[in-house]
Amino acid sequence: MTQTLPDTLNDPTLDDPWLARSRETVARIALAPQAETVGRVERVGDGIALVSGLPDACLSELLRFDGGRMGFALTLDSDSIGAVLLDDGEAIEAGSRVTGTGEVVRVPVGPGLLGRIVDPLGRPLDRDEPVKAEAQMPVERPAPAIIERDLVSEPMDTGILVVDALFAVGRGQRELIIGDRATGKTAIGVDTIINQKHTDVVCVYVAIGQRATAVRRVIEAVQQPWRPRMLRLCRRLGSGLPRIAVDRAFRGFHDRRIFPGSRPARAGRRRRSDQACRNPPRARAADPRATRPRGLSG
Amino acid sequence: MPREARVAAFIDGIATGLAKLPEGTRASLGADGASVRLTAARAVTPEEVEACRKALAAVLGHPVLLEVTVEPELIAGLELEAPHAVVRNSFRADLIRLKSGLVHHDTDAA
Repeated sequence: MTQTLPDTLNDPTLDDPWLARSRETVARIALAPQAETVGRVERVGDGIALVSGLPDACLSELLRFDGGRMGFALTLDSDSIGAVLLDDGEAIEAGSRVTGTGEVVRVPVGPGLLGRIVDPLGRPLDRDEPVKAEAQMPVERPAPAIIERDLVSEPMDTGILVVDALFAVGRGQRELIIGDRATGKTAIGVDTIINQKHTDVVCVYVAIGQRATAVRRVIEAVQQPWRPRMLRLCRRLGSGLPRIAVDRAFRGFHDRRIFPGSRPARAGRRRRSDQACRNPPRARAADPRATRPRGLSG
Repeated sequence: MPREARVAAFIDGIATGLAKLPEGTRASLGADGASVRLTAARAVTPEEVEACRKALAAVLGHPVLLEVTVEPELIAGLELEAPHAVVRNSFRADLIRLKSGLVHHDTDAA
């Protein structure tokens, strides 16, 4: 015995908004043969994967590895790509498949990041709640020119007596802490962050190439309810995230760019030319992904 | 869908998809006698394999060695897989694309 089901999807008498939107979505999807170039991991180690294939990959393009792991194209050679892994690379083996996403690495920006712990792609590590981003900005962006930056005119106390007594630290100023191993460089930085609890200073902690235990200690030190104006940008605990990846993510966050509304918009942003791609538009025109934004346009 | 149509009707589509690949990728596909995996929804007859080989060779400009596998999950259609290229012309690929579109549509609406 067979039962005929009602044709709900195509019933025009049904006035359901979700159904109407779904019908439009389905109608927009072109069902045609799909052709895509794929890359193969030739070798992987130390958070870097050498990938063959993908002739139309762009510099800094986000790449998807098997298992949904992500990376980005750091170097483009004539027959291979040097890709930095942004996720745990232990499960990625030689021969596994890599596909291009057609997008560059972008991270969420905005005050919604305050109080959160995120990985280099802006994915939350502290809880399942997504980061409420004001916008998504490419990590690779030019730093503001000197003339565009605010003058350093306001002092900033670190709360460490010996530092405040000996050095004049201003807001927006860069300072470098140099020292031998295990001499307390991180402690100075973390103490300075904690001492800003009664100020409006926004603190960003970036863990680069540190041991998981050290990162965990810092998170426990700063993760208090009375320290809301603090962003923690951390590597995924226990993973061998390469130093350069975090460094690049940090470059995307630095200079107050996590708060795009706090400074005037800058004109004349750099546009990455097609020379940064291994296979410029002619070859890509035949690619079904060509309609998606490619390369840097930020 | 008639059994015959589950393969034969998709051969031209596979050739069309193959033609969309960049020239360099096409040139390396199946070169030096390397085999290319052809996946079908059901067991393929020798005539159908020959028709596929002819259609692909016409696009690539060189003969290609096919390694045929069967995956009923395709429902109907063909998929071609080489080390650096994938061409899909199957119901499964269409359904995945529809599902992805609907999921994104729901995510965007939320």
